[in-house]
Amino acid sequence: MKNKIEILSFEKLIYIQKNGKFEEDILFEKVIKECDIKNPFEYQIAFLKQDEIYHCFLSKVKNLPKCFACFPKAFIFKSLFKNNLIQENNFCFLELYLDEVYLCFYEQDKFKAFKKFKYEKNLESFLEKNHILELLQYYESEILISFENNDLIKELKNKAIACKILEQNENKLAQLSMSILDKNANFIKTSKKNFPYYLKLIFLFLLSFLSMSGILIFNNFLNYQANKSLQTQNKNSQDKLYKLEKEKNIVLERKLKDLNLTLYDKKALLDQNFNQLDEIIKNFKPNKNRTLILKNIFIWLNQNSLGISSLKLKDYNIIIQFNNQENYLNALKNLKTEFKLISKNDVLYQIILELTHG
Amino acid sequence: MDKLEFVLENFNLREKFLIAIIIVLLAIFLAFKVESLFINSFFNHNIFIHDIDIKKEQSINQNLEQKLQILNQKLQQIQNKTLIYEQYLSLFQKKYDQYLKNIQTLASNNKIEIENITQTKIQKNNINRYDFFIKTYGNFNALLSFIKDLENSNFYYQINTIEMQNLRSLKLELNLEISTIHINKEI
Repeated sequence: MKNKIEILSFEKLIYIQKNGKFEEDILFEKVIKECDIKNPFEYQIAFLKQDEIYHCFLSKVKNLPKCFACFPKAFIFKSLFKNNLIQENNFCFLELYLDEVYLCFYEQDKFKAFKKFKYEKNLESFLEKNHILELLQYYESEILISFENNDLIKELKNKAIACKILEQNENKLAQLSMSILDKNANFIKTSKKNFPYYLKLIFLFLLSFLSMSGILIFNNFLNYQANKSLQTQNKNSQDKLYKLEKEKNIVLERKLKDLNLTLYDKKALLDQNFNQLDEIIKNFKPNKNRTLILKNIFIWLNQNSLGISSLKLKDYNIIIQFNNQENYLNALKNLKTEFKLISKNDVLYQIILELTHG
Repeated sequence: MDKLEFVLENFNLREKFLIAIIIVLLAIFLAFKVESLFINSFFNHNIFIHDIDIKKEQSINQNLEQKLQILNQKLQQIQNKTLIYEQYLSLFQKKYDQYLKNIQTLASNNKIEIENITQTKIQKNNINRYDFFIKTYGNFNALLSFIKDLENSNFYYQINTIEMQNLRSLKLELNLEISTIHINKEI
C-alpha cells in the first residue's frame, strides 16, 4: 500500500446525516438502508461525529485509491481553522464541478453541514432557488472559500459575501488533516480494523504475562543453577564425609578388635589372679593372734601358779600337759570362761581346751 | 465482540489507561500464580541429596563408639580389680630363700637358737606352699617375742602349730609349724 494520503472528490460521495449513537457497523447498515443501496459490500463509509450527529459519506469501493488514507473532500477543511490558515470562525467551502455545486459549512473546526445543488447558468435564479444566501446566513458563515475563482464566486462577491480563494491546494490540506481527523473519517479501514482495542488489550495482557513469566522463569532458572552448583558441592562434601566415616569405621573396628583382645587377656589375667587369691584365701590364713592367745594362757597359768611340762597350740585348740596332779586339778578347777574343756586325761594330767571366740 | 469493541472504543483516554493498568496487573498476578503453581515446582531443585549411606555409616560408627566406651569401662573395671588383686598377690612374691633368711634373722634378733628347719613344698596352680618345721630353743620371753615377730613380719606366715616343752632346765623347746605362700610368676 502506498504511503500516500488521497482525497475523494465530491462527485464520488454520497452524503447522509444521522442523529444518535451507533457502532460503525450499525451506522453503515442504517446509512445503506436509507440510501436504498442494494450492494452494500461495494460501498465504504467515512464519517465524522459532531456532538450527536454523524456526518456520513459513502463511496464506492472501486473509487477508493490504493493508499494509506483517503478522506472525503468535505472533511479536509477542518485543518484550516486548526492550523490558523483562516482568520474567521465560521466559514463555508464552495466548489463548482461540472453541473453541481457543493457547499461545506464549518463552525470553527466543527463540520456542520454539506449541501449539494444542481448548477444553473442563471446565477440569480440559482441563488434564490437554492437559498444559498439564507444558508450562509443560517450557518453564520463569515467567509466563503474556494480553490478557484468562478462566476458563482463573482456573483456572491457582488452580493456582498466575503470570498477567498485558497492558496493551499487540496493535497496540502489533506496532509494537514491526517493528524486532525480520526480513523472514522478515513475510507481506508483495514489497518485499524485488523487491530481492535480488545485485541490490543489481549496483546497487552499476553505481553505482560509473558514478560513477567519470563522474568520469573529467568529468576527461577538462576536459582536453579545456583542450587544445582550447591548440590554438586554438597555431593562432593558428602562423598568426602562418607569416605571419612568409612575410614573412621575401619579404625573403630580395629580398635574394637584390639580392645576385645586386650579385654580377653586382662580378663584371663584377672581370672588367674582371682583364682590364685581365692586359693590363697581358702588355704592360707596368716594369723596374727597367736601371741595374744599364748599370753592369755600363760597369764591364766601364772595367776593360778600352774606348772606345765608342755603346751601345744593348734588353731584354736590348746593341749596342756601339767607337771603334777595338783596343778592338773587346780587347772580344771579354775578354768577360764573363754576356755572350753574338750577332753582331759587324768593319767597324763593333760587337758584339751578350745578357745571360745568372742 | 463488536459490541465490546464499541464499548471499549467509546472509553476516554483515562479509562483506557486504567483498563490497561488493570490488565497489566492481572497479567502480572497470573504470572506469579503460574510461577508458584508450576514453574516453581519445575525448577525446584533440591540442594540436599540423600545421605542414607552416610547416616548408616554414622550409625554404625556411633554403635561402635558406644561398644568401645562400654568395653573401655569394662576394661577399666577389670584393670582396677586386677590392680587390687595384684596388690594382694604382690605380698606373696617372696621366694623360699627370702623366707628362710627372714626366719633366721628374726630368730637371731631374739637370740634364740634354731636347731633344725625342714620344709615341704606343695605346688598347685602356680602357687607354691612351703611348710616349715622349726625346732628352736630359748627362754620364754625370747620365744614369745620370736612368735610375735613372725606374726608381725612383712613376710606373711600362717602359724599352724606352736608347741612348747620344758625339757631342759634352762631353755624351753619350741616346735613351730608354719606355712607360707609363693606365687610362681613375675608381676
